[in-house]
Amino acid sequence: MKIKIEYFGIPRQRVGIASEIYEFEQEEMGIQDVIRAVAQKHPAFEKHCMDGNTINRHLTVNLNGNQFFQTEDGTARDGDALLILSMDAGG
Amino acid sequence: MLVDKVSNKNGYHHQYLEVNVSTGECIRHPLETTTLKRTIGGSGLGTQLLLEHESWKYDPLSAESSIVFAFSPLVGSPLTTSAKFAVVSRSPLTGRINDSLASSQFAIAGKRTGNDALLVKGRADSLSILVVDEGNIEIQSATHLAGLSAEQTEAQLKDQFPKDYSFAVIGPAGEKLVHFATISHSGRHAGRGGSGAVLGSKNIKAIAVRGKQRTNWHNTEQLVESARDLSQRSFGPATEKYRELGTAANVLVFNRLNCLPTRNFQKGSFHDAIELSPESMNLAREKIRESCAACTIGCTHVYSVPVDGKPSRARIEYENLFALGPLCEIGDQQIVLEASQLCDHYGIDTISTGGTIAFAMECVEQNILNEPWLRFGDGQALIQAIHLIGQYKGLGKRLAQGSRALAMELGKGTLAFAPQVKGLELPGYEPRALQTMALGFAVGTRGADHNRSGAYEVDFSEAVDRRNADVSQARLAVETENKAAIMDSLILCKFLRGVFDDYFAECAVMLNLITGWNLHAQDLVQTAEEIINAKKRFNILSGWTPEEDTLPERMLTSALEDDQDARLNRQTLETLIKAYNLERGWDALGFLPDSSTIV
Repeated sequence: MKIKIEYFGIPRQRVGIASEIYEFEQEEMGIQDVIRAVAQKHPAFEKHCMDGNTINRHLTVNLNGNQFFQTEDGTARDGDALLILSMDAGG
Repeated sequence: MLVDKVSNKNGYHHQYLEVNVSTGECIRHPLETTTLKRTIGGSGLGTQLLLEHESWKYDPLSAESSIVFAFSPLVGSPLTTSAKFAVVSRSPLTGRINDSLASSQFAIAGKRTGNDALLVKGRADSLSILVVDEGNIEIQSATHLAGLSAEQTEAQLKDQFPKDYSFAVIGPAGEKLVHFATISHSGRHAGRGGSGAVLGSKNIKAIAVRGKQRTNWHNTEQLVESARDLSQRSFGPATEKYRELGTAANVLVFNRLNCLPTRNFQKGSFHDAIELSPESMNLAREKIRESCAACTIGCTHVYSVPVDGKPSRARIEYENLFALGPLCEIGDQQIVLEASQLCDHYGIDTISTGGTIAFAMECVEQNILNEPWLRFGDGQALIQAIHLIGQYKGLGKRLAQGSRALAMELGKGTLAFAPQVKGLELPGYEPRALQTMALGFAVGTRGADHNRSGAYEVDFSEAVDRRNADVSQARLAVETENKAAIMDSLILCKFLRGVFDDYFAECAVMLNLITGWNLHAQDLVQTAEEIINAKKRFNILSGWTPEEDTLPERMLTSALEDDQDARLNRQTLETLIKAYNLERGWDALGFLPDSSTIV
């Protein structure tokens, strides 16, 4: 399956790109597993955006512009877009 | 007039100063510990003083009305971001309570005058400077400052006064009583709700303060340790977004999630959002980063904006960009930066400015307002409209009253799409796409507001479905309001909120180290509730009715054009509001249980 990862805010600063496509052999995957794959590919992201095996509490993940995931896990499927963004939105 | 020196106390001077600028009379009022425990300072204390002075009775721009500059127990301490004060008055824009906060040396110098708050009422005979030099209070002529921008005014005052003075000033818009004029100091603004017009109505161009009165700290050693720890945490991941990109980082996120208000809240995304993002501006322009007084975060991003071939700078926040960009459908980076800079020049709130102009643009488009030059997407029209507002000329006189007043003047159903709640223009959070925030906007005591209700945090979390609100969100909205009430009264910057593991408990510890009190987390929750009750009480006394707790009609009858899943109806909103009111311990309509309204 193919999943689009979109980076916003600090994650984009760390990774240096706005988005990229990831290909996985599975037909569906846990969102946290996808994030771990991202961290593995981008050491700068892993260093600043991960707390061990899970995403840093100051970041959040959004699936297709709909549901947010932070501590809970969800399922990503072929064609999905995962948005990785900074937690606070104040302005 | 000479006022006696007072003895210092832990965190407080235990007094505030009332100055009547009509007569020059000054009264020093004591502040009891019980009052301070109940209100803390800042927004809470300011609200209490307005209630005591019965300011709800008076036209906000009348001589009888009061305006309070309230400091806090943390001001002057080593705690990061604590150099803050609240300006509290009845708003000319809403007729309800208004509290605007800002950071600068004015907070520190103001508190060193030996007062926990300054309350100003009356009206000077001519444009004046109120000088508070500890016990010596004078009203000096400011006629030489008439018409000057806030920046020019402050520069002149720095030449005129000794170095240890700090100033809060108004720009030309405040003098002209533009209903969303700001109060400025060191380039920062107490921005929302028109406190600049209230000060202008008193013929006060500037307040100059200095002093040497310091308060004590109950446990200096532990406070310094706590401050060091807080500063260290403020350098961490919770604030890096603000340091590296600033609040403008929201532009691309909100655009992607269809919650970036565009074209007067008709759409939730903007085709030129990338052009207005800090990611693009950082590549295209020189930028420097600044901090408020006593702040370790440094969220202020100041961009170069050459105007007419001359170098100049503009301080950029998400709200400036949203209101003067997408909301007016303008994607030209240079225009939006210039427009933002012009708002600072005249001393007007960028959100209300952009909101009111975007509303007027839609009225023109619908042939309801006969100003054919004022069109969505026309950058020069935006600039021209800001000049007219700031100079209070032509159409600017009508725009200067805000979108609600303009809609009521125009009629023809325009109130349905005037982007305001209680008269205060909505900030950059599309309510249909962020429905906990929609509730926060509707019930907000100062109107549509993202600083007194941080309910958007709930929408950007896994706790809710942001486009399908249910009553469980009412409790979450209450919690974010309670947190804000404490932050605005302590006062600490909201950008610190992510660094706390146990918010109320840690705030209680800081307050205890300064005051010697023995407060616990639950005590602060109760204090937050009392502060919000006090604001509600002020509003009820000033004529609030439950019908004011709503959103513009169009947001309750139409989905977002570019996101048909983002829709909210009146019944859902009313259900949320009822749940919110009951969660607060009010009746279902939002009246306090003691609506005999004890002050």
